[in-house]
Amino acid sequence: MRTLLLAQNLTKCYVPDVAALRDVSLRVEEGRFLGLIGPNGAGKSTLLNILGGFLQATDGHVERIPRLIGWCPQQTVVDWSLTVIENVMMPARLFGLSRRAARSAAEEALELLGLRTSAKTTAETLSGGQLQRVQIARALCISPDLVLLDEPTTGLDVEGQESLWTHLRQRRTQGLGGLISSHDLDALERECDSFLFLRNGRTARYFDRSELDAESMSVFEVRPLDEAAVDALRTLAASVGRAPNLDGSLWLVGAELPDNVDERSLAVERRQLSLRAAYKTVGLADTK
Amino acid sequence: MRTFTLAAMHLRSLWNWRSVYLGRLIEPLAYLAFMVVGLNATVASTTYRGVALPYGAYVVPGIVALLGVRAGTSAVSDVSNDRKWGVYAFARLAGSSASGYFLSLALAALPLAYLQALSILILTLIVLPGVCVANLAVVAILALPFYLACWIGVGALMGALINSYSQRDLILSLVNLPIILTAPIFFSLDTVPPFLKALALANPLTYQSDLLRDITLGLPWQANGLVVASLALVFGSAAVTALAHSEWLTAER
Repeated sequence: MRTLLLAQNLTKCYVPDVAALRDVSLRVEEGRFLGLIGPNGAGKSTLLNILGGFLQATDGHVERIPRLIGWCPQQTVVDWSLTVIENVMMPARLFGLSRRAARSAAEEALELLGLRTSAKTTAETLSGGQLQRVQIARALCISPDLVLLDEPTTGLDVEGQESLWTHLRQRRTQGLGGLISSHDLDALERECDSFLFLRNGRTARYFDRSELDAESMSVFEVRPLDEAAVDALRTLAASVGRAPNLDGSLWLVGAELPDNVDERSLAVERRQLSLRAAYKTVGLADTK
Repeated sequence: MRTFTLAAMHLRSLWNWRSVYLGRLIEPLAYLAFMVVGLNATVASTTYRGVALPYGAYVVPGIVALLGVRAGTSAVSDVSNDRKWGVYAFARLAGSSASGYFLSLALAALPLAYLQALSILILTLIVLPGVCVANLAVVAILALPFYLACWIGVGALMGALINSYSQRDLILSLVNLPIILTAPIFFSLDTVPPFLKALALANPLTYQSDLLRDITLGLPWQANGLVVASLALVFGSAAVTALAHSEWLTAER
């Protein structure tokens, strides 16, 4: 498979010596989606903006192979002086499509996202969800080879989300590659081929779907049975090099439970394979 | 090609927000219709480089030169908005260069400046019938691109370097009026105190308004022409360099 996007050791410091992103590397290939996951402030948007070329990395290297890149930022980035269809047409025109072809592609994208009737209104009259649709339509309008989507489903209703994922799935069969950031772990698990967990600007975990499948039989959620058992959980967490999650649980991945799990004070449950389970296994200790 | 597409987008944006830009069109006409006509009735004549001429004939070239400054003021917000709203980012992502983007700003501003200049000249025929505008029209067509390159360069430089609305607003407030008032638009340098003359000599608008006067009055214009062309080159190049090194997208909202 052809590599569409290659990033090596990206670091970004907005102010000297404070890294919003540190030493992050990734690869996106043709026909594959990479899911970007992490808490707020983990550096996801910074990473996507650097990958798109919109921000300059302080250090590291980005190689973008395709010319046509669809970009949907998390924040609203639209030209308020243009109408909806003019906004959607803008990148298409800049990428060299004729006015007629760009208009036709924009109308198609707006139709897909249910915005056809708002085409001639100015962007300032739209709701947050509608503006998000405009940004997605703008990203898809150029028939990109690569998409960089930063929380694209935020603000979208259920129909909008389904329509977007269906379209992306269809385009993926034609070779579209993508990097998609989202807090919707179920959707990412369903749609993506590999996953990058970011915490505090660092790669906490970067793995392929096949690795997630291989872990399926050995994901355990450990919880203290009472207040007195909290120390036992902390001891266990320290022994595996982690800290408990914010909800007080500890998620373990491995062939076997460690010998030092005291099942008289700790409740242990085997969990169904999911991206959420894998995410929970990235303890807070991994972020330091 | 992308440059023309971008220029067309700037014009489209201008058209969509035409009510906002109406003031920009009206301002030079208001200067001419009220201030210049009023002063012309009071002052009658003045001298320029030792040549006596009607006050109106002296001022009108300055009003035309002023159009460049106004284009520069607009360029500050145009560049800031384009960097906030993703237009600059998409242009660069699609392969447009910083110089192509800069050129698109100038290309979009040029028809507007010509339209403004035409309005000024037509109004001059009406309110100052003794002033000959034919020569000025030809010279303005040739000179305005240089004026725009200079002032849009200054504006784009600010838009590229300053990512804070309040800072931009402060600098514009501090700089804009002094630029207009220290240049010999409404007064002649032949008769002003030395301090004002010194300030005027540091102001690009001085050379731009004087160039129009030199040519329309048949005086030697080469020295001012060289200064005007150099200013366009210096500020245009500085703006392109600043744009090339600026972030494509700002976090300013």
